[in-house]
Amino acid sequence: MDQQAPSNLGLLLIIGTLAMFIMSLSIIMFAVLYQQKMRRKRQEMIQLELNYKNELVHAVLDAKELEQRRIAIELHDDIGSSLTALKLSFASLPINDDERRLLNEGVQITIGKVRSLSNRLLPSILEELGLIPAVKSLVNTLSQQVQSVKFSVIAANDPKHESQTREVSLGIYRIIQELINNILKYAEATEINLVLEQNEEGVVIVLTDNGKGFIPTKEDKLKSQSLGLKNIESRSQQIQAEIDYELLNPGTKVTLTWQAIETKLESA
Amino acid sequence: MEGWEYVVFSSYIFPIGMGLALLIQKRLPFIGKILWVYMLFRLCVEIVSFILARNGINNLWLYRVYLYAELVFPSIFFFNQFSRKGNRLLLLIAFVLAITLTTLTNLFDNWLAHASVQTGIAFVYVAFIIISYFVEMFRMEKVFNPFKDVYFILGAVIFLGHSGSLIYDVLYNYLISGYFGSGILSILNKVNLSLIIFYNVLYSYALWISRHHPT
Repeated sequence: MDQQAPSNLGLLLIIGTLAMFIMSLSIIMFAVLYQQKMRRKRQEMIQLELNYKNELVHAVLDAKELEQRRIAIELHDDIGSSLTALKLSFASLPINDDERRLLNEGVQITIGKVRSLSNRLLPSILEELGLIPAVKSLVNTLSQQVQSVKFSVIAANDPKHESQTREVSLGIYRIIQELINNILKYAEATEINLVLEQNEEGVVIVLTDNGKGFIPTKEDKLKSQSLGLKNIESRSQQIQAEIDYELLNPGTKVTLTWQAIETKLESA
Repeated sequence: MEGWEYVVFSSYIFPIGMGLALLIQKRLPFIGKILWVYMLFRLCVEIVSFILARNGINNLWLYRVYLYAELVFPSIFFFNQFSRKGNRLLLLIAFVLAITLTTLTNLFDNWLAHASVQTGIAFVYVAFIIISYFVEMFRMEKVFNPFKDVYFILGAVIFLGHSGSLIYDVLYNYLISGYFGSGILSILNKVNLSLIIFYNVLYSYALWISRHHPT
């Protein structure tokens, strides 16, 4: 009995040591699990906040689009009509032909500017003829306004997929508008090339320039000053399009890809 | 047993070598420097203890001195982790109490005997600091990745280290006398030495994650 006791005690000692170790490990594991739970919660909070911000941005963009639409209609229907009426009224004025021609020219230029502005705010061609003609028309207008830059457009306009709604087309149009605007403002480019492809599978736009190359970082996109980049980001999120920036030598290549819902499901 | 001891000495190469490299590169923050000094101190104690034992000189007094370091270093590591003044004061009081109790018991103890009571005091104090740190973490709702936080790793390793060897240290005199059986001391010695290697790897990891990133 006496000889048995030490070995039993030894076992007890090992069990005790193990128990102490396990107890400490349990406390540490509890802290680790607690931290992981907290981190998960924090992640969920961040995601919720992000979703809320996205919804807010989308709501702002929708409101902006609505307001632009209202102003465009006002410009086209109200001011445009008034100017046309004014132009017609010149016929009855007791002035000579040179003065009438001068007045007519002045009013015609103003009508053109109002139309252009109205068109920029609400591209009616987008609604009437679709995305590709609207983008072509935009580039055409810009190439007339900005003579220092050489524009080129290559387009393939096949029938679109039914999931390419008006909102999607408008979103893509606005992104292209913003991208070209950015090139004209900052890139100091002399050439802008646009390749457009629309078909049943979706839309792919490749925009290249020969200016100062620029790839926006995540921070750039989030900066409150970079409103244009923010808009591009928000709009691409809204329509679930992907934008890829690539640095060229010289210039930048931007690829915008919007996949139709069926294509997305297939690739998934 | 000597083979094992050499392995244990070698395992100090990881934290000390890595700490030295980071120190030279000026990438060690304050906590990392203190941890590196702590590791260096531990290695010195191990070496001196080994040399003394090899020459037949009693080395148990060295463990008594070492236990003071076991009270000081965790206090330096975690003192700044407490945001409330009250908590810091409590920690200070606990530290003073632990030092006083260790000194008083040392005065009445035989310096050439194993420091069992002092080990218990050190364990209670370390457990108090680490658990207080965890409580502070819960209270402040600090959110971080525990596997990438130097304080958390350090706290866990120190706490595990003390808990794992507490019974062995407290009952060391009984183990030596063969009260628990003849083979048990050898088993526990091996386990303890293996755990030191494991802790050293974790200390190296703590040093690695504490480093400054080059700018």
